[in-house]
Amino acid sequence: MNSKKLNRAADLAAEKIAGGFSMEGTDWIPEGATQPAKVEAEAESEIAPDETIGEQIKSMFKHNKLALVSAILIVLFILVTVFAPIVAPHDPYVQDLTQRLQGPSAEHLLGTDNYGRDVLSRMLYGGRVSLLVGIFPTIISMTIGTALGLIAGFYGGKIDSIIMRLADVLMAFPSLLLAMLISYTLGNGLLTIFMALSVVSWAGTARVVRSEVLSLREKEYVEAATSIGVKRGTIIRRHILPNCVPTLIVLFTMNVPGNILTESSLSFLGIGAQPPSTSWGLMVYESKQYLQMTPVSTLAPGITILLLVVAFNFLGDALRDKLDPSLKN
Amino acid sequence: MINNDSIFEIRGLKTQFFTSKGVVPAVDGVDITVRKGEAVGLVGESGCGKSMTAMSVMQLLKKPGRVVEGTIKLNGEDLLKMNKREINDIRGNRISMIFQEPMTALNPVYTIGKQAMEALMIHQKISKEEAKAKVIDMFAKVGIPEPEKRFSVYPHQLSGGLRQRVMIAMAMICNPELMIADEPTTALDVTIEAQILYLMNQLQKEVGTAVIMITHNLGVVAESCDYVYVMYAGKIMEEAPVKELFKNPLHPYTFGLMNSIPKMTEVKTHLYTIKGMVPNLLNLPQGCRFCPRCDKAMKICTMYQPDLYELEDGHKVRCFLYNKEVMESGK
Repeated sequence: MNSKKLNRAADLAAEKIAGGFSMEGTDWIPEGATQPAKVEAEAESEIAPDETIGEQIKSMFKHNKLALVSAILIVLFILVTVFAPIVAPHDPYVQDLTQRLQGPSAEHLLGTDNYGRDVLSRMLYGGRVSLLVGIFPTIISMTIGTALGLIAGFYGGKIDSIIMRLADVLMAFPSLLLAMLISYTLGNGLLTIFMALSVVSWAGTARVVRSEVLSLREKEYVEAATSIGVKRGTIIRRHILPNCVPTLIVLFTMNVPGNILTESSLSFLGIGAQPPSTSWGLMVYESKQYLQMTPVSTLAPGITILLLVVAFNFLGDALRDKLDPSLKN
Repeated sequence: MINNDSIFEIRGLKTQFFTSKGVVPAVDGVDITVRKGEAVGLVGESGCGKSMTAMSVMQLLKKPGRVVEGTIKLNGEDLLKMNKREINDIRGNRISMIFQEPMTALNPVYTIGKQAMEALMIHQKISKEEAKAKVIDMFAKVGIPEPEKRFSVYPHQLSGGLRQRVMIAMAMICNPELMIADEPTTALDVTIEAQILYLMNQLQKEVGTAVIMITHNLGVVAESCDYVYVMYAGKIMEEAPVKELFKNPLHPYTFGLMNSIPKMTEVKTHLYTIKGMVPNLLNLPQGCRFCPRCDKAMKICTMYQPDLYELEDGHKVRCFLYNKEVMESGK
C-alpha cells in the first residue's frame, strides 16, 4: 500500500519534470546553437590582447621610472666594466708613488690610491670581479636550488624531507661564516669564491621554488596533463618549471646584490679577490686607512656597490609587482 | 545504445582516504558498466564520491587516498593492475578526461595549440606538422572559429566556453574509447552549457566514444545521457535507463532530487529541499546511508543496509521499499 502511494506520487512528479525537459532528441537546442562558431566569434572580438613577458616588462618600464633608471644603471655598469680596457683612462696596475693618495683631479677623476694607481680605472676593472661574482654564482646556486626545489616539491615524502633538512642545515649557518670557511679550506681565488657563494645560497632558492611547486602541482592543468598521459618528469619540466619563471626572475634580481655584498665582505676580510687584482669590496678595504686623507677612493667604490645593490632591489621589486601571479587580477 | 558489448566495467570499486581521523570510504563498492558509444550519467550531491570514482579510474588520486578493492576493466584489461607506463599509454589515448574548470585546466604559459598537440605527440608517432594539422582539424570540429589563428593563442585570451571547447578537443584528439567528463558545464553559463552538451553529443555519435558524464545537474543528464547512476555517500542508490529514471524514480533520494528542481509550470513559495545534509563519511549511519534524511524510513532502514534490488527492465534500486520480503513481513 505504501509503495503504491509512492509510485503514484512518482508518476506525478515525473510528469511535472517531463514538463520541464523535453527528452526527445536535441530539438530543445536553440537555433543559434547549431552554429556555435558564430556565437563564440562575437565574444572573441572583445578578448584582451596577448601580453607576453617581454611586453609586460616594457609596460612596467613605461609606468615605473625608478625601475627604468635602475635598469639603465645596471646595464651601464655592465657595459663600462666589460669594456674597461677601452673606457679606463689609466692602467689599473701601474704604480706611481709620486702620485699617491691624491684627491680628484682632471688627470685622475677619482684620485689615486696608496700606490698612486688611478682609482677610476681600478674601479672599472674591479667591477668585473664584483659583477661576475654577483651574477655567475647566482646562476649556479639558483640552478641547483631550482632543481632541488622542483624535486622536493613535486615528489614530496622522504626526498622532500632529505633535501629540505639539508637546506635547513645550510641556512642555520651564517652564510658569510660558511663562505669564509669554504674559502679558507679551498684557498683563495675567484673560483673558490664562486664555489663558496654557490654552495651557500642554493638553500633559499630551493625553499622558494619548493613552496611554489607545492601550489603548482595541485593545479588542474597538472592533473589534466597527467590525465592525457604526460610523464612526471615531463610535467615538471614543461608544466611546472615555466610557471616558476616569474618568481625565478625576481629571485635572481634579489640574489645578485646579495652575492655582490657577500663578495665585498669577503674581500674586505681579505679572502676575496687577491691583490693586485681587485674588486669594489677590496678597494674599500685597501683604502679605509686613508679615509681621512682621500675619502673619495673609499667612498667611490662603496657608493658604487650601494647604487648597484639598490638598483637591483628596485628592479626586483618592480618585476615582482608586474610578474607575480598572486598580485595579478 | 542497445548493444550489449560493454567496453568499460567498474566492479566493487572501493576508494578510501586514510586520514588521521580515520578511514573515509569515499567510494564504497561501486559497479558501473559502460557500453560502446553509450553516455552514462553519474549524478549526486557534492561529496557523494562521483569525482573520486573518476579520479580512481584515471588514477589521479592524491596521497591519503587509495583504491583498496575492485576492478576497473577497459575491454577486459584491468587498469588497477597496470604499471605506470601502461597507465600513461591509456591516459589521454584510450580514456580521456574533461575537467570542471576550463579556466584552470589549461596551462597559462603555453598556447592552446601546443597543449592540444601534447597528447598526440605522446601517443602517436607523427611529425609536428601532422600533429598541428590534426589539432587544427579538431579545433574546427569543436567549433573554434579561425582554428589556424587560434592555434597560437594563450588560454587567458579565450572565453570560458572556448576554453572548454579546447579541453574537449584535447580529450577527443586521440579518438578515445571512453571520455570521462567531470562536471564539464558547471562553470559555464546556460547558453554555453547547451552548446557544449550539443557538441559533446555530436562528437560522441560521430566518433563512437563512450562517455561518463559526472554532474549534479539532472537537466544535463536528461539531455545527454542514455543510462543514469544516482550516487549517494559513496554508493550507487539507483540505476536505470534515463527515460525510465525520469518517468519512474524509485529511490526516495532520487525522488527528492527531482522534487527539488524548480518547475516553470508551478507556482510555489518554497522550493522543496531534502532535509539534513550528506552524512559525514567518517561517521556513517549503521543502516541505509540515506535513512536519516529519508521521508519513508522504516525501522529496518536504521539497522541494515539494503542491497541493490533489480526490478523490471534494468531498473535497480538500493531501498527496502522495493524488497518484497521486507515489505510483506511488515516493517
